[in-house]
Amino acid sequence: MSIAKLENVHKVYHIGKVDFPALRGISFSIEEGEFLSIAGPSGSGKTTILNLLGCLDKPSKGKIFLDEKDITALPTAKLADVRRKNIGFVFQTFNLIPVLTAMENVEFPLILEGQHEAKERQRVTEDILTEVGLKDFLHRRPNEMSGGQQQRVAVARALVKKPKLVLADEPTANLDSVTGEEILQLMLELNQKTSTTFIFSTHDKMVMDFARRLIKLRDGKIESDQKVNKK
Amino acid sequence: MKKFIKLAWRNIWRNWRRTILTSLAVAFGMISIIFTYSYIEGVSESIYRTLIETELGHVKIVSREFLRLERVMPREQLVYNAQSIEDGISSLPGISTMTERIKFRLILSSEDENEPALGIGINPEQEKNLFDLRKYLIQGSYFQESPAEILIGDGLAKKLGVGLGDELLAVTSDINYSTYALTFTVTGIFKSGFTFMDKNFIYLSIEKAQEMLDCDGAAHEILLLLDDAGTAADISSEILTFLKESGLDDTLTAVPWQDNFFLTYMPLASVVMGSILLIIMLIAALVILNTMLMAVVERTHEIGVIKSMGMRNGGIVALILVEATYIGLLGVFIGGLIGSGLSILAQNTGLNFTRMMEKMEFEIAFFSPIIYPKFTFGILLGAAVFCLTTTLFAAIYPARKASRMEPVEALRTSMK
Amino acid sequence: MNKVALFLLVISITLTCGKAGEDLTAEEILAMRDKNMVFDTAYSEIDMIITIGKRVVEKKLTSYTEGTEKSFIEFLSPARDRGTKMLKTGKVLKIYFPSAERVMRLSGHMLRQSMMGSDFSYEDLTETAEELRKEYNVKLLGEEVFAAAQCYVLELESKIENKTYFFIKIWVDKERYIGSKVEFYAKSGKLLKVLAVEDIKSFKNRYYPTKVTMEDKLRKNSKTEMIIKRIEFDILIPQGTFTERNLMRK
Ligand SMILES: Nc1ncnc2c1ncn2[C@@H]1O[C@H](COP(=O)(O)OP(=O)(O)OP(=O)(O)O)[C@@H](O)[C@H]1O
Ligand SMILES: [Mg+2]
Repeated sequence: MSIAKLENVHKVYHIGKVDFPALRGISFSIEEGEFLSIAGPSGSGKTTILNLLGCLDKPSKGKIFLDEKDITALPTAKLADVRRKNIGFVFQTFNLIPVLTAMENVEFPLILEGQHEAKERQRVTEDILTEVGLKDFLHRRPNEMSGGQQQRVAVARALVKKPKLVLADEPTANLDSVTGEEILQLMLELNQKTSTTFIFSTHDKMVMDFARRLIKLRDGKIESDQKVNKK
Repeated sequence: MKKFIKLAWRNIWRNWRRTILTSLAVAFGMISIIFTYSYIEGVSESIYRTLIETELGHVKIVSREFLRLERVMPREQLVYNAQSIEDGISSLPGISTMTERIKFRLILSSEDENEPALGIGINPEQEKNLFDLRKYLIQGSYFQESPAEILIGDGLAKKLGVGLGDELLAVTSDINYSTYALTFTVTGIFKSGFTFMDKNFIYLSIEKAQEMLDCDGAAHEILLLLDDAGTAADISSEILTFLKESGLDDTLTAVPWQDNFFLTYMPLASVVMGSILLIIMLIAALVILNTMLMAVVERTHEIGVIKSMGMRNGGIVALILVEATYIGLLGVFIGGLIGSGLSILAQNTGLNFTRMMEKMEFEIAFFSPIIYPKFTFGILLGAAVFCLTTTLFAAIYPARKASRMEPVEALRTSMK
Repeated sequence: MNKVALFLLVISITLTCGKAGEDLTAEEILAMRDKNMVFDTAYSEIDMIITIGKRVVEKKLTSYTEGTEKSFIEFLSPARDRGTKMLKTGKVLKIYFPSAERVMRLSGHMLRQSMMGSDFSYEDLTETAEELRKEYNVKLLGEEVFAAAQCYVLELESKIENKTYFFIKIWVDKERYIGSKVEFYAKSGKLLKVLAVEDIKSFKNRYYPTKVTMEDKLRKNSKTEMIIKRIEFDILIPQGTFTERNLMRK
């Protein structure tokens, strides 16, 4: 079953009077449980694709399906609901809320969801933070943690509500290579354990090697789309 | 809303200096409002009390003409059968005192000076139940049965250069436009603090006043003191009915104290003060607006992050409003504490304007030089509600601005 | 020869006699009258009728006048006024009240009060024509017909700041040189009082107004008529008339 699908998606940015086509006919489909990397040089359209998949933006042309449902024409508020329920984001710059502790940051999406009792929320939060290896950092604020730790919190935050899709835009770009690898290893483990679908963008060769499927972009078009078979 | 309580609280302390400063603006508004309204309340209460004691009673029975031409005080507009009227209405419940007064202009003449004055002829025994002049006497004593006694305001005594025991010639025009004069002995000097009264009033026995005006047995006003001031309007209308039915005198009317022109003027004073306060609050609102706008702009990127997590626009609005409410509440708390404290302090010590009033050329009738502000819980509550409302209104624009940010754009904005 | 204010400033400034002259200056017109005030003393019996709204009060009084400085007035009726006496010497007015058996000395701003309930003030009573000429600048405004007579219209403006009547307008009859109407104004231009001469009698060698009406415009529906019932000029006034002793005589 396809969890997300792009059909001939175009995205044109308007810069003053000039139209700039960032995506020019992108089509692909993602199955549940995939660990997919979108790679390509700077400006090739990686972030744009993730934003569209994350319901943060709308395509200029073409259709986007999430869970086989067409979300292309949904109004803003509905898009926010889709994001809240189905999508977790991991950002290049971690983007934790600076005034909240690790616990509270991870708890925040659950609060937004409003589905859980406070007790249960805390248990779930603690569990996932333990899983990402931050059992001893529950009450640290972001500025009291290293970049790698912050990104672990971010991963936990993206996963805590058990979304269908986790979108990570260059999650390792702000980390040294060892820490970056650790984060990718973590995401891969989580992908295998929970069968959550991961899509991450990168232009780092090392990072691409982690992917089970690699879509290469160039100038807003798919250059190649291949499965990578691992041992 | 519950969702953001912690987040909002943490957010306002990210820039604590700014938060404190903003809440101080609110606090300043709060203090101004509380103090001003306590002051107005104190002034109006003092004016009400004085007016009732010296001018209005709770109900005043008076000729319509005398009432209409109050400033001129047409001396011939009299209540002739005061005794029968008093007998007739004495059965009405809730009347604690009835007293008659005669009011007329006269010229007082001492050995070296002449001064115009306002003579009040009173019945000393009844009068002191309504207006107890004894509490203001600084020299001499209250009326003691000798007919030619006169109590004089200290300012007027000074102008005339007279002291206790001195003789004064009083000249007036009687109800038939004849000029009549009598001599009196100063037996008491009062200082009420009301400059106008102290500089213009003399009190004499109603019999002597009647002699001067040539109107035996008559009075200008019958003043009633009630057990409950709130019943004045009802009692007035009952008296009117009585006057009509008894056929005693159809030129008379009964006026409850609330009908006075002065009192209708008081709300105007509140309006004037209110507009000054509005300006203060406008400034406070601008400070809040500015602060919240800065907070929103600084946190653009973060708002993008929150939105990407699926918070709806309404949630963003709520978050910013809760933050503003915290700041507002902080200001209300600080300002409420200081404002109430100051007002209560002033209420106990009184604000003394004597020096200022003495320098003033004109005199404000019945404006006491020592004002005791009157703080009430209602004022505090009203001020709090008003300040919080203002805060919320000021935060609406920043909140909407935040909620309308496109998440993609917000995320593209670099972090602070 | 004295310039006499008689009894009232207002009468004095309406008094005029002598020959008509064409093209006179304002000062000359005013001077004509003063120059021709040719009596040293006068005795008169006067009715003062005060009308306020519907009320009419009549008072009778007698008056002795000597020069511009001295006059003595005694009220004869009504009962409550009988025995009230006034002595004017210069700018000081003393009033004796029989009910109090006391004398009150009036001066300064107290003189602006209503005199015995009338439309005249004590000041109207004490100010002399001489002072008038000293304290005002005179200007001829033009000519006008008033009460069927051709009149000069004079305007007097005070040289002093805080005069009660800052402007005075006088209509002077060209034929007889008698002021037939006087208007008194405050500095703001507000009309304070109007005096009208309603009757003029001719005596041996002079015209004299015998009925004047004063209206105090600040009092509503109020006027005071002053009717001279009898007047004798240049009589012998008894010794001691203008003394305080006489004032307090029972
Ligand atoms: N809001 C925008 N307005 C105008 N042009 C935009 C906007 N967002 C992206 N672009 C342009 O669209 C193209 C694709 O941008 P995108 O951010 O998707 O690239 P990217 O592959 O993520 O690059 P990078 O590796 O630098 O992050 C770029 O040329 C970029 O300049
Ligand atoms: Mg990018």
